[in-house]
Amino acid sequence: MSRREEWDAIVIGSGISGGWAAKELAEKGLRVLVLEAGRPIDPARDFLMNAPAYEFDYRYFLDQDYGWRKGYNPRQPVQQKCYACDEGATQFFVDDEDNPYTTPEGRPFDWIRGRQVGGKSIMWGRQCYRMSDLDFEANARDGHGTDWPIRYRDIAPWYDKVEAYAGISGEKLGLAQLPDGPFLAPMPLTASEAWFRDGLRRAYGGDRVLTIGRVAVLSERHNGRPACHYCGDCHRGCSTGSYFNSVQTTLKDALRTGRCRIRPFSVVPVPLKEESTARVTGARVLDALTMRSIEFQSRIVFVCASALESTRILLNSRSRSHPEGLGGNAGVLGRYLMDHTMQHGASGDVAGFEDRRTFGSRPNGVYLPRFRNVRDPHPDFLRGYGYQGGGYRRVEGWGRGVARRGFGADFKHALRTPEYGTWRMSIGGFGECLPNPDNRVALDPVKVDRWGVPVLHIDMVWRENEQVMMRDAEVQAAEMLEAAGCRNVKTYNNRTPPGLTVHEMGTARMGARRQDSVLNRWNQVWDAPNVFVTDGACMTSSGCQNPSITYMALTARAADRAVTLLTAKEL
Amino acid sequence: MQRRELLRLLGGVPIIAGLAPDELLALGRVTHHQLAGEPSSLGFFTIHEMHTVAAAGERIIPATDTPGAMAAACHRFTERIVAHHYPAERQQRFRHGLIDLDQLAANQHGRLFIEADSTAQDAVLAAVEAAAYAARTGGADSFWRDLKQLTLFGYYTSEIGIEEELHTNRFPGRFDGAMPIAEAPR
Repeated sequence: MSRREEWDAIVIGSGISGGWAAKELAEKGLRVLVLEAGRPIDPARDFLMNAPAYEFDYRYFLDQDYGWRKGYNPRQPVQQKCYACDEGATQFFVDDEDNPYTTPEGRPFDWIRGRQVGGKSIMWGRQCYRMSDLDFEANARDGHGTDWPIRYRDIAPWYDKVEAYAGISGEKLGLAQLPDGPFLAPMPLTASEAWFRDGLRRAYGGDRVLTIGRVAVLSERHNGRPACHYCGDCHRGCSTGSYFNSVQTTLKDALRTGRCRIRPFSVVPVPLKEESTARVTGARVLDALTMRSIEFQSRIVFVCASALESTRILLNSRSRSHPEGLGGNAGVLGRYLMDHTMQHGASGDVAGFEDRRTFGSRPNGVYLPRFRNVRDPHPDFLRGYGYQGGGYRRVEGWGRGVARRGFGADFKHALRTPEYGTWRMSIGGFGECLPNPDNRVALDPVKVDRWGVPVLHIDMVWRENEQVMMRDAEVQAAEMLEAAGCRNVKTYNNRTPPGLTVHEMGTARMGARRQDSVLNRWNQVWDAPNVFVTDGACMTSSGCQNPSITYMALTARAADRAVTLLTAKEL
Repeated sequence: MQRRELLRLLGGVPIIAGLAPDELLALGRVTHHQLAGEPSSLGFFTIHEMHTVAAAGERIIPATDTPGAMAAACHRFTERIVAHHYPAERQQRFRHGLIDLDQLAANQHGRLFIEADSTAQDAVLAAVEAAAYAARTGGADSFWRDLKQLTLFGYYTSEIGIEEELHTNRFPGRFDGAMPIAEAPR
């Protein structure tokens, strides 16, 4: 038998969280093996931002109706529900047939995944908002879920660190519920957004404010990466590396240390574990191409496979000492699944600015921070929501020619000049989801994926608090737009199922006590302290903020702790 | 050229049956001549259908001071969408629509659509458009709408459409949320 390769640390997953784990651990001197289930990514070859429409078979024609996207790839019926899974980015989303999961009849969950080096950090939405003590104290305050074992002061320096590295463009507001960071220059508002911001200020004072989105896209040159060129095609991969993704930042820096190796096509069904003790000794890898099983040894393991894939690995690690899976002894592993509600809000017309238009494609929108249950408790629901949105002018380009009569030379020449319509303003809520034990994942008793690994059964619905909150967000959106002076205001709720927001989190929560949580305050599995879970799985509550920046901060914090413990020989 | 081969090239178009043999052969010569320069297609459309799509597209977006639909190979984009994306019924409607172009051209001008001069082709397309708008759907959900949509989409997403016709700046380098239209670059 060949001797197992020995590493200091194994990182399972190479996305937002795995990239940070690899960089931090390698830069602190550890020899790090990154195991990625999917294919390698070479930005020069795989990032398609530079490719004009005519280099694609269908030139995005099938993106006009998501139901048509099966023409790109009939094996992605779930992934194609995500806006970003378009013709230029479909290769970054998983094959749903190779990667199945199950849901109860009538309770859909759209699980959007990326299996490649870089994970979903290639096609993520890039919005970055810190959580605050309003969020870290929420469970303790209203009794839903267990208390977070950390507070804002524990994570604040790590937010500072990861934001300074990633480069977050945004505006400081001084709001306690949405702490500021070391932002790069804010991107500009549009005419109708600035108008709406001013209208809100008149109508609500400082209670409800509009700001430009805080986004991991460079508004100025930063850490050797050039500024955004405003082409608007981030999710297809950026040829200049101007938005944060692990391939062009953290993984690159990890490799630069000479102590890190990335092994693609490495499916990790379970970590390696000594049966008698809780000590994890490495990881067993199933080579996705050869189906050969290989074992790697390590002193610590960071599980960063994405929230539900990480929990799936823990659940699959059942043994005599851990019948419910690694971390399952408290009985909460797999439970308290959360996502954010989305696509419920309002839009309206804005008069004026007839001589103005936008120029360039801004990879960002506007943000309206949470105002519900910040100071005064709302009688009908707990927690709150923020809005994301944008204000653009209706512009009809050549596309208007399709439905209009006429053809020929004059018709062609008329289509050269766009027709400008009214300016619009639209905002949609992103709502917090209460931690509920019945929103959960478990192993499906029979189904396995292409590699023979048991798959998840996902059972989640929006419950009453979320439903009431969504309705409130619609009504408040309409009220604010009208208060600012919008006309033809209409509310909407697209009733998207859980999962599609792609903020799925929880199921291996952190907690102060091992009796009711999976992870301790340093993201260590209570039952196996040399295993760290630092991606979305660790979340104890969801807040309403886009969560990736929190995963980055928690990962960097946990990596620092891991090295401290290793140095002190406490692991 | 054998009649059978000619019929194959013409895609078994029913109106052919109504033409005298010498007329048919005259058409065949022209068609045969045009085939020579035509790059390969997916094979979904017959060569005659391909020529008809290309000719109709060129009248919708003609070459003017910039190249037109034919130079932008819109017919090949159209074939790709019809072949790979349209359900069978809509494919059939599209084929019938092409036959109608020949039928109208034959009735009005005694020629196949591709043989007619541009004025005659425009008259045929105008008649097809008028019929589509006279229908209950008011122009939507028709062969005409499909042909026009695919031609426009193919043209404005082609290199010619992006670079020469619209001068689209794919890498603006900055964002302005309230630029005076008068100062905006194209």
